[in-house]
Amino acid sequence: MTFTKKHISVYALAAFLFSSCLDPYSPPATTGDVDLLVVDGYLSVTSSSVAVRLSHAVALDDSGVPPAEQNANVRLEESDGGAVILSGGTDGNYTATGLTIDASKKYRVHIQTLGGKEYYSDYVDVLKTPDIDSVTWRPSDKDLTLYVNTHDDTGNSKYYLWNYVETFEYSAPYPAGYEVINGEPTYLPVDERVDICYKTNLSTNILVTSSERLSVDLIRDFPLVVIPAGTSKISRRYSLLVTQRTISKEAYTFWTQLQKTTESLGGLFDPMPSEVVGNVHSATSATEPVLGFFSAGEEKQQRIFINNRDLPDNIRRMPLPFCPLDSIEMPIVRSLPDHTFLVYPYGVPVTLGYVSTTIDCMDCRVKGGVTHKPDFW
Amino acid sequence: MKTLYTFIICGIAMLALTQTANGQQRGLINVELSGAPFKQLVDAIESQTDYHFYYNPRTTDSLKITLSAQNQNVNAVLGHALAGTQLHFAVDPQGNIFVTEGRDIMTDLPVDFFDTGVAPSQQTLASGFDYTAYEKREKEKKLVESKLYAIGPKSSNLQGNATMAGHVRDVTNGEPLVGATVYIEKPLIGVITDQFGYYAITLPKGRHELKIKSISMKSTVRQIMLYADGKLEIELDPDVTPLKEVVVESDKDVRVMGMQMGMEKLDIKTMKNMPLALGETDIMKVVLALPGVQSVGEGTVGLNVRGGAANQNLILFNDAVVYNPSHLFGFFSTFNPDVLKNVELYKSGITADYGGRLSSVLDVSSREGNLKKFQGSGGISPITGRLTLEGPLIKEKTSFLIGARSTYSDWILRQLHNERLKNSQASFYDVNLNVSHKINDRNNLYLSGYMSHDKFKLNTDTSYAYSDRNASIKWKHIFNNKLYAVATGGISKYSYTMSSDLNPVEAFDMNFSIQQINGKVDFSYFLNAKHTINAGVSVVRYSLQPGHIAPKGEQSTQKTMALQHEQGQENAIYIGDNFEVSPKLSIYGGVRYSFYEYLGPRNVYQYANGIPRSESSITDSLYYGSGKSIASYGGAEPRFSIRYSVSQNASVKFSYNRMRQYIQMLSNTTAMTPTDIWKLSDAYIKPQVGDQVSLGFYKNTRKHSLEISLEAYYKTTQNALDFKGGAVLLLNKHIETDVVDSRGKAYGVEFMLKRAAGKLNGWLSYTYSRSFLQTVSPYASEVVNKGDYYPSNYDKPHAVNFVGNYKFSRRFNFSLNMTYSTGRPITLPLAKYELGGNYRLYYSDRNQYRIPDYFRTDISINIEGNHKIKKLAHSSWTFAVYNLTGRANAYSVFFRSENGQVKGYKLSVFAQPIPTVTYNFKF
Repeated sequence: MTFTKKHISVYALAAFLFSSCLDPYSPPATTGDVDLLVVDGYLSVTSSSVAVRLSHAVALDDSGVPPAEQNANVRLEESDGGAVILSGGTDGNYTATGLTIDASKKYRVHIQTLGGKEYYSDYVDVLKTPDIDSVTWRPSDKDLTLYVNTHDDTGNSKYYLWNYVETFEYSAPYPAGYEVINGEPTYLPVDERVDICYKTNLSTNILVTSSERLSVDLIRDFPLVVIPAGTSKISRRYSLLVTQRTISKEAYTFWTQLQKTTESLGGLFDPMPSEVVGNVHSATSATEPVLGFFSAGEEKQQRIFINNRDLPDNIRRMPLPFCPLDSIEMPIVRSLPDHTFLVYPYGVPVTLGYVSTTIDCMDCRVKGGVTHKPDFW
Repeated sequence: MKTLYTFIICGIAMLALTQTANGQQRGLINVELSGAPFKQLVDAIESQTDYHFYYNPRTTDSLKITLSAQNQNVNAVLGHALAGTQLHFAVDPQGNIFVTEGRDIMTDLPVDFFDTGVAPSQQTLASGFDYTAYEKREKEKKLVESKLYAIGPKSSNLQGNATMAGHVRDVTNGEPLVGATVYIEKPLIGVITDQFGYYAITLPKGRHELKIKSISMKSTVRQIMLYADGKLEIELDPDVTPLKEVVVESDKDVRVMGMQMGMEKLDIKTMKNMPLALGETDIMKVVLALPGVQSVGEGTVGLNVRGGAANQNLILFNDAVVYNPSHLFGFFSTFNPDVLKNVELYKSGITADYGGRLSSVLDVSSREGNLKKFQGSGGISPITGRLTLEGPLIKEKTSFLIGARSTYSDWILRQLHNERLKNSQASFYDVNLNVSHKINDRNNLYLSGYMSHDKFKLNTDTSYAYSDRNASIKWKHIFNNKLYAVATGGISKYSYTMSSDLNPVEAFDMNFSIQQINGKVDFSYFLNAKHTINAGVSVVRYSLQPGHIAPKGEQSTQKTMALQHEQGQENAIYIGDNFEVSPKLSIYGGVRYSFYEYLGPRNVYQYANGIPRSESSITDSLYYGSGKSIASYGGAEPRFSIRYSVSQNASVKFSYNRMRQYIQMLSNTTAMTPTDIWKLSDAYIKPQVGDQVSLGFYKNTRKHSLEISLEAYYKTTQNALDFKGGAVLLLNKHIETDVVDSRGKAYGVEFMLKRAAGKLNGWLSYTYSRSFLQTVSPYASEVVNKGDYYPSNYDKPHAVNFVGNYKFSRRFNFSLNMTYSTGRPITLPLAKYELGGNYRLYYSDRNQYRIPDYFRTDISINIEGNHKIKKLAHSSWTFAVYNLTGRANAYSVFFRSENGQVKGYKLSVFAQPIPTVTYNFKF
């Protein structure tokens, strides 16, 4: 991976030597037919299931969600003729579970859309995936990086793809203790507290690498995630579930090309962008590009946890939250709408009012998490 | 002033009339004066002796003389009296005393006036006169201009023609003057000196006035009596222009009367006047201001000449090939301005002696060291420091020139607070060495060495180093006045290494190198006044080490892998004839025949027929032994030009040339990078062939002070390379599977208005040009843009350049440079789609959109130190502002998917005015 490192660094040099600047750029309205089918499919031996998502490309300036291809006839076909019809389809996701997969055979997907178009993927091998050796982390002076390590003694894997699910626990700095109900501040029961939340993110980057230039099929310290110091992800506890797949050389080429064309491109020292074509083709038109890829194989998973207390000080220390406290007198509290959060009362022995602050300081859900603790936690 | 001249004339008249006794014995003087007017001293001397004074009362009326002299001669008395004033005196043998202001008067005849030896009186008086070197040369110049030179042994047979030859040199340092015109007016016969300052002119026997002109040198004449073939060495004075007048002088006729078209020649003086980007005179940037030359972006390496790719330029430095003329990924060029003499860019009408690249020849020559005295020069700019030393090793015979330049950017980087940059490295240096040796009148030897080195590392990641080295030796032998030969041998090597130790398991060292050894023998034969014939042979041997990777450190599991070495040999013979049919019509016709072989040892993959070449279509591999020919190509390369003079000030020219290129650069990035690889033509990759026709109209106006030219061209390229999407070029064992054959076409019109000399000089040019490529493949999966022609990366239809210099005085020079061009083509994403948890972009048709137009203004002011001839060091300051208007010109446009959003960015490199100060010195 580092081998084909691009010269992106020249920009940094330019920035130092000269006064370079980066401005947002909105491209001129492009023309042309962009209604292309996108196929994202994987046949998993590990879960005995296949999942195919069908969607469409949209114009660059389109702010809507790319439309799903609904109610298509999607079939998983074995190289000797056996087939399974995938169910679903109203949201573009098609699945079949409880499959018996013969790793010695090849599989493909066959799609017939409602509009009458027909598509086939290439037949793909069912690939074995070695176990993840470890998922490790190492702090630097300003961030924390999580790495994956694996190896294949048979030397057959060579090309790897990862995706991950990260989940982290975080809290509200001034959790609400009360809420207004019918004009009266009411003590929040424990199970309705909004002080601790859990947030889950899926990986968005393409994480692929290969050991083809190495003498052993070994991946050491492939970086998956970088977490800046003092961010909420590592404020309490962080967990990463890594899924590893062995992929074919074609898939590796596809994903690296896709990575190049979408994650860094357009610089003078980057390859010129080109059409990235996967392994799905139109049966009706040879010139119609079909986007996406279909693969099959095993998936191996590993989960790790990182506790805030295990981290070095420069990483774990959180900046002080900006939470201006405000005291609200009782008459005003009583006029507040239902479910308004309050932190705590003041005034002894007679409660004069309640202390409140901004909503994001009292309610952790504002930042996107849920209060329900995941099962694996 | 007028009176002064009157005095001089009177004095000379007197000198002719009176022939009295010797002035030294006219008696001694006794005088006692205190604050007396000058007149009183004059009266005293005239009364005591028979001296007679000539002076201008106005220049002496403010003078008060205090003096006491007993029995002293007139020289002592006047010496004392006029000490500390602006007045000079001169005593002639006839007893006349001339008192002049500011300058001495000569009372004797010049040296060699009667050419009969030295007059005895001169010996005694000469010491009393202090000519400045300038006046002395002026005097000598007059002498040689009036002298009649007899060429060849005297004979009475003055029938027919004879050829005289020799060199034209700069009198101050003995350097040859290239492109000086040597001609007679009746009938109009002229030649131009070649790169050695050599000329050979065939004239009718008899008496002629030979005129010699060269840029920024004083024109001169020689009276010759041509009896038979012979030699005449000519030295020219630099044109030291007095402060109050500016003489317009240039090779004004060349553009109109010369044979060459599509050629631009720039000397270092012109280049040094242009505003600097980073405090450095950069020839590549200057060349970019010429019509027909483009680059993909600011601060990139490649030149795109008339719609050609960057690797199609033959860049020669003293006849050795330079593969990568850039420092810091293209922000600087590797040519040290202090050692350069001139740059010639041939865009069309390329003569038969050049070959090997399609688009252009950029011939960079360095100066020869000073043959007469030691000299040094240097400069300090914000990024670099440089020093050049030169001088004679053997006076008048051997000289050397050594120049070095280095950067202190590493040091600057370490001072920065940014953590990323602190761990970075960026450094370069270049060294030049030239030795020229005059063995005798007929043999000259030139040695040249060049080296540039760059090192680059960012934030402890991958580090890069690249280096370009070459050496050449050139021997010029003059057989006779009509024939001379130049034998050149050279070696060029370009190599780079990349290494990474970020991840110890994957740590590696990777390197690449290309080497060429070339030899050439070139004959120039001046058959007669109408024909000049040029012929020669050339051999180039290439050897490439296309890639080698090895583990770095003990932990590394990197596999050692080396691509097979490549060898090839390119041979060529050529002949060309410059035929002056009539004064109005000249024709050049030439042909070059090149023959190339791709040589073993090598294993060559064989592919199945009828399907696209890919790793899976390999059927076999064939082994060729060492020196076995694997593939061979060759063919004739005709070159033709014609010039027709419509009038004395206007001409029309036409040229056609075909070029073949057997080595190409593999690059699928927009700009050239130092880590691009070169590839020899082989069994699958055919050599590129280019054809160009061009037509031009040239006119000089207003006594040649304005030159107007209009040139149009059309060119085609066969077998250009394109690449399949996502091709990996580095360490690819079967690059032929990733290559797609393509062809190109380019056309354009270039208009240029130039004022070469004068107080205000410079040029304005407008270029309309287009450049297209088309992939040629029977397989739909390989073609780009459905197999249609699409604009190349450097297709910029409109370009306007203005370069102007205004000399306020000899010490202040103001320059303005303005550049406009259409933005380069880019490929924009057509659509976005969701895959792998994020938005991805769908790119399709290549280069259908453009980045915003480019516009930039630069200014610079040059301040020279005073012009006293004798002082320790001459220095100058240059203040420049690059991108004065601070326009944020787009360097590149790119898109990234960030947090589920596709965002477009425009990067500008020089987004603000960049002021620089450079200090230059010379000693």
